[in-house]
Amino acid sequence: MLIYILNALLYASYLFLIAAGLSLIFGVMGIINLTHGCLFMLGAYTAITMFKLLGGFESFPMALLSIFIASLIVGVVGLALERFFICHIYEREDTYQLLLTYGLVFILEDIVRLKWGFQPLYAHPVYKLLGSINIGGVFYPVYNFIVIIGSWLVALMLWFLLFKTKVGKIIRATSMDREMASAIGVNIRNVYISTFLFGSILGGLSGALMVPIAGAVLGMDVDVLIEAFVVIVIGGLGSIKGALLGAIIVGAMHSIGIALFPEIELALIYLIMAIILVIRPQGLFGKKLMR
Amino acid sequence: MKLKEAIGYLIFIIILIMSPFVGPKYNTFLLTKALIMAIWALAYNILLGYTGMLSFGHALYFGVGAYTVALLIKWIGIRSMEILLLSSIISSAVIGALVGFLCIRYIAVYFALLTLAFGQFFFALTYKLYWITRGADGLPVPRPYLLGIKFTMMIRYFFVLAIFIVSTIIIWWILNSPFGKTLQAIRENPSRAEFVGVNVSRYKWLAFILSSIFSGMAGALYAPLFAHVTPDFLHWAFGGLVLYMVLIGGHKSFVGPIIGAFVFTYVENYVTAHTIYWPIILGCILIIIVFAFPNGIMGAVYKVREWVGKRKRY
Amino acid sequence: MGWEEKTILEVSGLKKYFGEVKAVDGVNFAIKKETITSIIGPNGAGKTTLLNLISGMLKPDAGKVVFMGKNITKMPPYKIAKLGIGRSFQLVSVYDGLTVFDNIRIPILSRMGKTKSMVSLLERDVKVKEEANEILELFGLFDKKDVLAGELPHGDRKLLDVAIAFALNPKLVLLDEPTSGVGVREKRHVMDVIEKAVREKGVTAIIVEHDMDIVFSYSDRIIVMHQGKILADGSPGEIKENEEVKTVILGGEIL
Repeated sequence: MLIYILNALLYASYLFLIAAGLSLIFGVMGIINLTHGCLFMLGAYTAITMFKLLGGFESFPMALLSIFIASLIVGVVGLALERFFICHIYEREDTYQLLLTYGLVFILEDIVRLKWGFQPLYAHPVYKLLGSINIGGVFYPVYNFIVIIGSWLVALMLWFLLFKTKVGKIIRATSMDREMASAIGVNIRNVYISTFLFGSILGGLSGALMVPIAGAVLGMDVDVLIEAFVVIVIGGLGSIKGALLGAIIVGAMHSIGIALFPEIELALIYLIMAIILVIRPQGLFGKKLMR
Repeated sequence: MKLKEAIGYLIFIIILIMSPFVGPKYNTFLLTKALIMAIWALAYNILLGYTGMLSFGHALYFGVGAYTVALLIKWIGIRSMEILLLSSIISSAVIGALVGFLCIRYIAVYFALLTLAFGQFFFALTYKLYWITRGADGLPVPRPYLLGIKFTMMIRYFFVLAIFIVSTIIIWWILNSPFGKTLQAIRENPSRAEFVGVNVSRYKWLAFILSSIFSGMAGALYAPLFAHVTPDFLHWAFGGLVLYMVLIGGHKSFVGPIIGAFVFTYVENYVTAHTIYWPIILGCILIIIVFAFPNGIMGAVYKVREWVGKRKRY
Repeated sequence: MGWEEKTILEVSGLKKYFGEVKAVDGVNFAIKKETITSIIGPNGAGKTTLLNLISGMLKPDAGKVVFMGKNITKMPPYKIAKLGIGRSFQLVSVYDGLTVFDNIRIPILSRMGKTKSMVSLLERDVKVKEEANEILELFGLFDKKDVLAGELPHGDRKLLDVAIAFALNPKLVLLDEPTSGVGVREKRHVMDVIEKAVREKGVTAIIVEHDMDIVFSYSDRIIVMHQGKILADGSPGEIKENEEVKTVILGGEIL
């Protein structure tokens, strides 16, 4: 029982990170960033390379550093994407925005394949570094706790950033009303760049944190992207609060699903997404757009 | 239709009829594939180009068509292609009607996401219900019979060609009817259309069903060609291919999808034979389209014609 | 003829609130057939909201709208259009990517019930083409019929918007600032067309307008709105004399 709860929290944690990034970008810039899954994947692969370079397999502090650096690298990649491609399509129709990011997905996927090859890569040693602890008679890996705690820390930092700092206020103002914000002198371009940077770092962090548990494998970008979508659809596009709640719900469903209906667990999640979109398209906390 | 255009189409069809007799067998295989993709692309463009709806889950109907064929052959033993095709039309119409009904009230991003959700839902079902669909292994598709004769490459080709010609004519007719014009009005200004008495939701739904029917037909024709069906046929990545084709050819013209399907099929074939970097190239092509050729090949053609002084409107 | 038979539209107790804002706050009136009624008032008086409520774009919080004896309060816009109410918009609403010709053909197709036809070819439909040409002639857009609506100058787009409303052969037409942005000569022309349609074809018109010249020249009746309520309602002569109206709308000037 406890295991299920912990697992649910684990899923919720990494889902939150990636969904928050996606939601932030959509909320502020109005773009559905299909490359977000790739950023997650990039985070995972880069983390493995970092582990090797910095000795993350032997020392836990080094592993943490690797993860940290990997996230930053992904952030930079995101920045490059924004600077060279995405900034040109802000004013275009949704269709073209989706297409551009879709095309970028293909390119990024292939770059990953070129650099790291077809075979999945693993980082088990990092996972094992911390061993397991005994909780009520069951052994649970300590690393998982690190992920969970780490994510919640990030959530806290994000909350602090958005609600207690000037930068955060500017970002939120832009997300609510772009024209107003620019009318009062906010540099929209800078806001977009920072948002995309933060969002990308979150995505990369998620991948990097999860790689010791899940490994790095081609195709994980698509899988995680869809899951992230489910989370933000439930929580509401553009809402960080929603991303959190959505992540918890999906995490719980994952856990319950695997326990009770292992066969159709995957299908169930998509069905819930569809149902939410039909009943309440703006999710729990999202903005009212769409009909 | 102008005389020049009619002659152009006629020549195209004559080429198609003569092609299988010239060159290696693989050519015919590729041509068959291109024709099938062209049907799928035309179907997709009913929604995208004419009604202004971007669907991210169109692999669903293609896959439904393909699996209908495979499942009927496996579990019921039907081998007659006529019945298989008819059944696919029915199954994809039903699924299209159901999914469409739920999706069409939403626009833009939400519509795209919802179609994606349903597409993936059925993908997951197909993947998991192993005892029916054999999951990831997929199902083999032995050769069906047409009018009692077992499929050969030639029979298959001409059957596909015939269906292609018929489908193209039907779709052209529909899109050039008052209904087609109404769809365009909905694309341009749905609220204005409401205010002139058009029940926009109903028309969108009809367009959706039409699109799913022809997509299903394409899938049904693809099953015996590929001789195998897998859940990937329903995955959104596969569905993305038809979007590519339509965009490459030009979503703002009738023939754009056909051209796009041919170009895509041949380019993909050529590139994958020579290099493993097809995804990157595909991604670059898409980016080029977004930035330089938003209306695809046909868009470029129209622009050139305008410069040369002849003006064309669609 | 009894009073009921002469009345084409009756609005009673209509209210629409947007949170704190009382856009329409208890409006009552009845419109007689084959008349031109102008609705005037300062910006924010609720005029466009009123039109939106009548045409089905918004649902009222209270009150009802009865059109030719039918309660259309909760009907969706397309049904109301089919019953015979045409509408033009303050912010021009036409089919930008389609030609002027197509813009007019579509409401005609809708009126004839042909929009669902998949079996005939649009280009072969001579009757539709003829009627479309008639309307285009009437509004002076005939020589621009093959131009894409999005490429027209603003004044023509406005004309097109009004023409679309008339192409429906409606019994009641709701026009929201039909002459704004249109050149002076064309203003008169548009209003003449509207007047002609009313007198000859029995169309009833409700027009939201800001141009007082036009309002006083063409209206049979003027309704003055202010802050969601009706301030005054009567013939142009009566309104001219009304002190309240003068202060609120006309700024104390005598026309």
